[in-house]
Amino acid sequence: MLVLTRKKGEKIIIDDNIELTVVEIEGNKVKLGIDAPKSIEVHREEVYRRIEEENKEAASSKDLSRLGNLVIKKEEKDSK
Amino acid sequence: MQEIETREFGQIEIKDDDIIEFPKGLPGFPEEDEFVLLPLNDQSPFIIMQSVNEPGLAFVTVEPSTILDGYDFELADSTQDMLQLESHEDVGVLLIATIKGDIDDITVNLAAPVVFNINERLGRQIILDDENYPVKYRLEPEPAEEGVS
Repeated sequence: MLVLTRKKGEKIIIDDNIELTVVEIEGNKVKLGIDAPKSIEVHREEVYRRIEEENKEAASSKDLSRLGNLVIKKEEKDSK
Repeated sequence: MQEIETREFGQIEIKDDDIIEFPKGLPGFPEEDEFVLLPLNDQSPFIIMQSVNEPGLAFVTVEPSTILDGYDFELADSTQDMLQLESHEDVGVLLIATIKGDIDDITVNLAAPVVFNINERLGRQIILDDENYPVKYRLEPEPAEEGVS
């Protein structure tokens, strides 16, 4: 892995058109600003990994023989 | 026409037009870029999203409106571009279900809907990152009434 040291306000350029800015450093937290073309998707790692995991779990949903006989009770989605 | 091997229905025949392209695959399955949608049966709200190239890979999906009201989200520009969406009438949405050992233990992933351009046959699973939409939204399915198969 490439490791670079940056100060607050400094940037990293990735591949001509992605700009990563260190916006703020506070204790063990770093606030990053990301400027990228709209075709680039940016996610917090744990959020993305959670979806990967859920997809893998979903893909191992098996024994669906009884699934066809189930009806779904619909619930109003209450806005919290 | 081509024949494909499916997980739930054995060998079936599909038309080229049935194939939906996922140019980026799905999170966790980046190589899987072609799927077909196969209704589980006439009565069931569930639709099987079967990989064209990997017979063992299939997802159980369901349309949001069949399980809850008021499910909506904004599509990022990147998604609209990638799916070549020009009108909301072209948009289709399915949610992926996870079924654990017991068939009554069903959750649906509201956090990462699969969005389609129905006309262009393009799809992509997007990540909403909205605390109102959990990864595991529990369904409370009931057996269909006696006599209904």
